[in-house]
Amino acid sequence: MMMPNAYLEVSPMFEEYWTGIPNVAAAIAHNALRDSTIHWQFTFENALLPNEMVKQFLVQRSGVGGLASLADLVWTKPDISYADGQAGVGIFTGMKSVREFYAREAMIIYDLSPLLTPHFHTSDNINHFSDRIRDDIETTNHFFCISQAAANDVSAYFEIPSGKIDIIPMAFEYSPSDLSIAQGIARRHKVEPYIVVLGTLEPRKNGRLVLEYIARNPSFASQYRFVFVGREGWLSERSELMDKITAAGVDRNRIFFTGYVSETEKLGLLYNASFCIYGSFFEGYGLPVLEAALLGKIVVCSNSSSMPEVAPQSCLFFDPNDIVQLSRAISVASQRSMRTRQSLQSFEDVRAELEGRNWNACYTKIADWIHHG
Amino acid sequence: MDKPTIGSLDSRSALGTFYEELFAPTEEFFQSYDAGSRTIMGFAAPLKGRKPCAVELVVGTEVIAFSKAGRLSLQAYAAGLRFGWCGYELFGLSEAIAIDGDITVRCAVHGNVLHRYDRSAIEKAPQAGPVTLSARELLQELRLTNGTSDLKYILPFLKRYSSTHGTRDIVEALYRYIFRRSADESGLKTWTDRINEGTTPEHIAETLWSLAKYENSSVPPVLQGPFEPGFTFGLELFD
Repeated sequence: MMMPNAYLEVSPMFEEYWTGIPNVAAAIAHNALRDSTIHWQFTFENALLPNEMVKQFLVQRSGVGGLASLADLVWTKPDISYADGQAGVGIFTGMKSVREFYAREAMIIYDLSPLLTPHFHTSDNINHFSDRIRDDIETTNHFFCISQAAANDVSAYFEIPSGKIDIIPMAFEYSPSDLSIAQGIARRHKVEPYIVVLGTLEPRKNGRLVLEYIARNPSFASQYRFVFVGREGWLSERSELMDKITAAGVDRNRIFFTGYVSETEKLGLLYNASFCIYGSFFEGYGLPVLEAALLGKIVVCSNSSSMPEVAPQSCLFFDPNDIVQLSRAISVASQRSMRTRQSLQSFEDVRAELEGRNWNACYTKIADWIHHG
Repeated sequence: MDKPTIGSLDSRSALGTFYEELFAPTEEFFQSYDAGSRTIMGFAAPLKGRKPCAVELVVGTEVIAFSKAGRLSLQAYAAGLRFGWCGYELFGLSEAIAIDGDITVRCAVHGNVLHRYDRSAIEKAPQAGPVTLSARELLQELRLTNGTSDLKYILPFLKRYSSTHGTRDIVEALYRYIFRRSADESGLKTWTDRINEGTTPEHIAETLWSLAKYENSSVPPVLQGPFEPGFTFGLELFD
């Protein structure tokens, strides 16, 4: 039987710092490189990329330098011909760069947030998304959604029948070296009790609610340091909230903003935390919740959109608009975390837990559709 | 297609195939251990090539700890090996002595034993008490695991990169590496002009690094090692 030709559009991997979408694209690319049953090629829009470039991105976990190399490539390598496209399958890990170019086309859909929560997006972003999404969807044969919530939204807003949608399970790519580093710190040190508040600092991630909680519960901040993990932004609002916290008698040093952290640092911070808070108003999935849960952490988690699907057994849910519910959930998490024996888990126990949630299941759904769709 | 299951060294051949994608077999090895913290440290390096090695602390067939040998090792630096970037640390000797079996450090790729430990010697040595860390200190310790605060260990890579890239590329690479962002227009112009006027890239790097440390005094920044994402100067020196 002839091997199918498939083209994976990997433009998200060209980003310098990989978070949600680039990590998903990278995981699919990594599995594609190891699949000998499909003739995979990788593209940036219509430009064919050498496999070595994709491998280099995977090694460095970044697309840094990619755009410069691309500028040279487009002069030396031809684009995919229409004839070749019509003989192959196109898988788009982001917005579609071409439509009806391949014999069959599938898209990965992360969320419809520019349409559903426009107040969290810039007008440019909303316009770009809305200008493209309908035509992208109408020219696509199959959809891979990263959560049931995203699938429900696609089905409801674009009337896509359920037979054309597959949910691809998300996973957690980790380094055993990073796990060992995190455990090594736990073994050798006594780390002060702290809570990790997950997510880049932006209004959608709802860090404001946590800061308001601290202002109303100053004694709690003396028990736990609050560590906001993620890229900083939203500086004027944060400054106003920090002033409110100080006025409530909380030492500003009890709240710590890490800024950008590497995967090593993130895993180490998660592993050694007492528990985590993820209060986002809207997510297509909520990968940080999965990461924390797989490391054995209790997560005080928003009950909005996709988040209840991610790791319900590890979460204490709250309405992201309700500070009273947040307070109750934090109180329960604090009590439960004191009873957690996670620090005594062996390296292999934790590794087995993480290995059980690898990207194979996600990739298999895509590969199956290519073979049999 | 399935990733090999890990859990025992019986899966070594499958695991080795997977790890071969990421790591090189160990050809040069050195170890020492700190009895107080029960930590093993040293270096593990291939003779050449752009992949780091990886080592495991194993008791019987159970893996206790794993380390990518991509840290800065001052012993390796002094020995002229991989510009020092082949160090490792393995924690878990306390757990190891609680389990029955030979205590060994092994190459994670091929599984060969690199060093065997005398259990009774480890048990006899007094163990230091835990050190208390704040969350800020924890982050700093995590940052230093695969990096350095001393620019001199990165300069050979910068020098090699500068010999094969134009001025603009050099400044961009320095910004992405030191500040973790692209250069703004004025910064790009300032520093490319300086290089074109004869200032060395190394001197520019020292200036930018001093600025980065001044701007981030609350949690001092760290320069990532060559095997970390965001290292912008390439690994050609290891060829």
